[in-house]
Amino acid sequence: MNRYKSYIISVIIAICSACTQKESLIIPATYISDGMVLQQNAQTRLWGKAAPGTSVKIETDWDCSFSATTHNDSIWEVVIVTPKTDLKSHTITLTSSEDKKTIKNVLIGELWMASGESAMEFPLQGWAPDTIEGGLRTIKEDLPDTLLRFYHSETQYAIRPVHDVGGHWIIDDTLTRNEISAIAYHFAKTLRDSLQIPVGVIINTLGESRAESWISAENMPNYAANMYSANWNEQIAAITNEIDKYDKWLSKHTHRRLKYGPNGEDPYSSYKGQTLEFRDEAILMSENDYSKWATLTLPSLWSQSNLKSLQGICWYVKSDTIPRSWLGKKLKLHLGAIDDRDMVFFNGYEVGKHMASNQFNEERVYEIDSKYVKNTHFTLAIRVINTGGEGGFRGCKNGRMRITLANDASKKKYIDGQWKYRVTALKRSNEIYLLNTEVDELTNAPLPNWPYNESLPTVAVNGMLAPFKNVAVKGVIWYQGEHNEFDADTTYHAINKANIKTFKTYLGEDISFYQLQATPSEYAYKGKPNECTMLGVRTAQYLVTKGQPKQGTVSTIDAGHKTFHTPYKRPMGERLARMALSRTYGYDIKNDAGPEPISMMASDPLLVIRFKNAEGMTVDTEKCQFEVAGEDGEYFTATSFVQGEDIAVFSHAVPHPKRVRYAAQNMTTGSLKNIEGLPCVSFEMALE
Amino acid sequence: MITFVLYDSTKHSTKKMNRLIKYTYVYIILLMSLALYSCSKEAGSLKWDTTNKGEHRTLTVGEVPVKYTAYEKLIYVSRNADTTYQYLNIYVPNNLREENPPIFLRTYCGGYMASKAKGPSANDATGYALSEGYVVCIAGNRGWNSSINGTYNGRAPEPILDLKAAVRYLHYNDSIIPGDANRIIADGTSAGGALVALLGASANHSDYDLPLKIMGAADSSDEIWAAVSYCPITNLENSDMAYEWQFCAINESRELSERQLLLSGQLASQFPGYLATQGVTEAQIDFWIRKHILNAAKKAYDEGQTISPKTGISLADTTIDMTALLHYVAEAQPLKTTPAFDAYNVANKHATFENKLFGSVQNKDQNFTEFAAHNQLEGNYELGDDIKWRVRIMNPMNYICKKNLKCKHWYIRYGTLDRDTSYPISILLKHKLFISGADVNFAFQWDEPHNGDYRLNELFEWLSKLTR
Repeated sequence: MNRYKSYIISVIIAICSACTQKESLIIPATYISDGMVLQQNAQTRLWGKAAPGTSVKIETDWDCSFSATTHNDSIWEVVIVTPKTDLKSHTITLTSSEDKKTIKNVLIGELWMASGESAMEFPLQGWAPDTIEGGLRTIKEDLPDTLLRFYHSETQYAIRPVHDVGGHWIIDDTLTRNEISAIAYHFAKTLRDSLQIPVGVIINTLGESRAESWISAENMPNYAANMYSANWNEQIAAITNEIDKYDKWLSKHTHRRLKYGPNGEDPYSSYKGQTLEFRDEAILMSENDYSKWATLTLPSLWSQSNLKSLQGICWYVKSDTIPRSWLGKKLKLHLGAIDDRDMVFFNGYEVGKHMASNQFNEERVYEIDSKYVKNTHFTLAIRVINTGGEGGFRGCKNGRMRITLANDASKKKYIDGQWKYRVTALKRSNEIYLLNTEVDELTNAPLPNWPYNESLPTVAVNGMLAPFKNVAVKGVIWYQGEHNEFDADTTYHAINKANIKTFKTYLGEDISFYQLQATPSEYAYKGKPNECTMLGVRTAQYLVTKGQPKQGTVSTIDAGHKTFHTPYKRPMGERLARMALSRTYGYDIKNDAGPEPISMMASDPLLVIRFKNAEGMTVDTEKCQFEVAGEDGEYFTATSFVQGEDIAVFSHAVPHPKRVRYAAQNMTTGSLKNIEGLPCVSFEMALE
Repeated sequence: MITFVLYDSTKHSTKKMNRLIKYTYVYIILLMSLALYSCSKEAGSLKWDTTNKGEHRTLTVGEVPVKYTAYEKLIYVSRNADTTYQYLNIYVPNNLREENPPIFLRTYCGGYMASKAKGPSANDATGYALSEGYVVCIAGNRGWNSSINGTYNGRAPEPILDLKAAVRYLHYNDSIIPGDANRIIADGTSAGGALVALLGASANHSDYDLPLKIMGAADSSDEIWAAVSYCPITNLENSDMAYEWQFCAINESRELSERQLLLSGQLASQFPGYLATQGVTEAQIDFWIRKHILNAAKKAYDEGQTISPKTGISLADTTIDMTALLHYVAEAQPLKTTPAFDAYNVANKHATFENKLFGSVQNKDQNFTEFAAHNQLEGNYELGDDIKWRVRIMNPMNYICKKNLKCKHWYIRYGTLDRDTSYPISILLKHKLFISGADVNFAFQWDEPHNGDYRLNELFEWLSKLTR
């Protein structure tokens, strides 16, 4: 007994000393780390954690000294003043009575934020099967530039504002730039080449997010949040309350933080001994009685079952038989695309996996070695991880889910239909919570009725923007729209305006804001390629920034692609930089963007549209991307001709035109360009 | 249009007592309104006007002039008739094949749209029937696109009610009209073929009594004697599953979004479940499809046609590479996208003709399958009882059974190149008729797209054997 007592006491002492030690430490926000870039000539916030009552002294090597004391929330924060840029490496020292931390290799230069959805995140190396045109060449051949840096934020969403977002600073190099946002890279590189001073970009994106995710509660327009009621503010309390209950239930479970490895290794793969506990053995035990598991029908997405908008790990199991004549033969398993990652076990043996990020759209075809095909009875178990967006089985591209003989595809056994399933872990933002594998915990869980994921209004602001509150940046480059398809121009106008207002609230009134217009795509949208379900968003994007100082919308109408992840990201980054150099840095650039319509007049049957940035405009009249409509709103293809800075359009079918639209279809290739080769924005316009 | 909920007498159980009470109320209210309606409006007469001497005309069929008398614009309902569509025309050849020959009733309904009764044509079965001495009747019907003052009056089940009313008119006046109303041969193609199948399957079924009564159809039988159905677009609520089951193997040949690919896989996987409800296995349906396609190809080959290797057919081995054949079909005409019948995103003007057929009188396009209702872009919802009832009484598969099958003679053709619906649809119709004791002349027609009234010599040979 005494032995136990002394053991317990020593454990308690160890815990206490560990706690004391931890609380006395200064923990700066993840962003404040070696290699960081600060905006020159600015007041910017530094913050972090320490024990309540700790006094933290912040000293910089440019002779500034500040101090702050933490309150009950353990947060300390100061606003420091940064000097004019130089090409030197600086240090910042954080000192308390118990601890000292030095942030090394800090650059003072121009700092920007790149934000929006996955289209902005899309890295130079691409996401298979989508690639960046010239991406690999850029990665390998561009000279390393230590004055070009990127902070890659981990994705995180939250219903209440948080203080920190994980991530790491990347100093540009041929070995490090592969995971950098292609747009941010080319934007920063162009700025760097022109300004010749250090440039940093905080890549702060949330894939699958709606524009409303990026609006703070106080800036939410009433008719935004249109998935919900007309009055968002009336609902936010109810939603928060519900999600708090779910969070509370979730927090009772063991959880792990999903962290990238020191070299950017994927948090779901094993690196340096760190592996997420998938608990495969517990699931694959032969004595498991899967018949007690819940049933669903495959192929299906989580959103189609009671898993709804959850993310995490779900096991799917099916037991069936194959013909006796197949025994001892090699088989092929056709599972279709699985969103996002999977590992497949046939009679307990691993037969294949797709565990890399962004293979959610790849067809899964696995070979089953003949040595595993010993019995007519088989059990197929599939571990599916949904890391974001919709999860589950997307179905085979051609045909149904099936097992076939490897050498004779006409001999098949269909395996779609009823499967057993169990959720063994739930992901919330960047934490993964392990559920009991032996019981179905979801049945009695307080699951939220709201989609608690990237699309929920305000969650990106709370999770990704709030941690950077009052961090000085020169401006924001922004790319969003895919998930707001079908929004009317007036709706998205209010939403997009509120996006800009939110960024200004968090990062300062004086920031610049340059955005990319939603890109044409054949299949990314729910509407068909020849429909105009994105026109409202595109028109609103151009109208929101029209005439606003240090704002602008860059046309991407010439970058249309099958998916939303167009390979033509380089011109996007360069065009954003061109606009920033002209409008933020005052460079004398004559046509800093493509043509933009500024006014329109009618002279029946002609409509004459005046453009700015119109020098040397040309349009391919063969492609007829202008359409006109009369009072009834029915559009007809129009003939167009350029006259100086005007374009006249008309159609024989519309004697009294009232409206015009240009490059309106979801998939289109706009041919109207100016002398610089910059394309015109896609727009719809009515006579005033 | 009549929109209401009827009590399904075949399914009631004590568990459904509450629904029974609810529906009984609806039923009583309807009967009361019918009574009031009857009092308020004098029913028009459906009796054949014996003073109508018709008009003598001649039609050249082939090179032979066929003389006949035309009796036109015979309104077949007695209340609030839509005079644009709700009438029939009767054509009596001078040379009758027998004293009181069968009546060849043709509907020109296609796409479930409204169809006007027109005159006989030398290029289709009507001319052929006249020249063969049959009395020819052509009936018009309202469809999803017919409207009066902005009210769409031809939404389901109105098209079938109109044809039933036309058949009732013929029976009602059987003693006066030339031709034998007890031997009506109905003929149609596509949606028309489906309506003919429904006429045959549901003859005299009580489900239709009340709505027929309300519209002022004659109080008589609506039996037909033989049904001639070319490429019927029928069994609509199960057609999406069948279509994807058949075509999902060549999804690469059509442009489907990610969501449509998923729906394709899901619909395909549900089809075996539907087959099981029909007492059919996947292996059986696969065997029948292959058998009928091989038969059609063999017949064409014997007649001198070349069977291209592109079709995946080997007559020597009697095998079909189904994927190759389906590609061959899709090359002839692009396949429909998924779902083919009950569209995804109906609210955003993606509706099919079928969504319009089951749409509202205010012209709102509507879903008609649970699957589609649960997979709409705008969110999930449940189908209403009204839609379920309308879907049920539009599907002949719900009425074919050994006990009730009044129409015993069936002639069904489906083209191997037809991609408007899938092979299993007509095969399942044939199978159900066959096991219910019908005499079914069924075949696939080689290299024939979605089309009707072909190989009329074969059809009339079959008919003449029947009438002999």
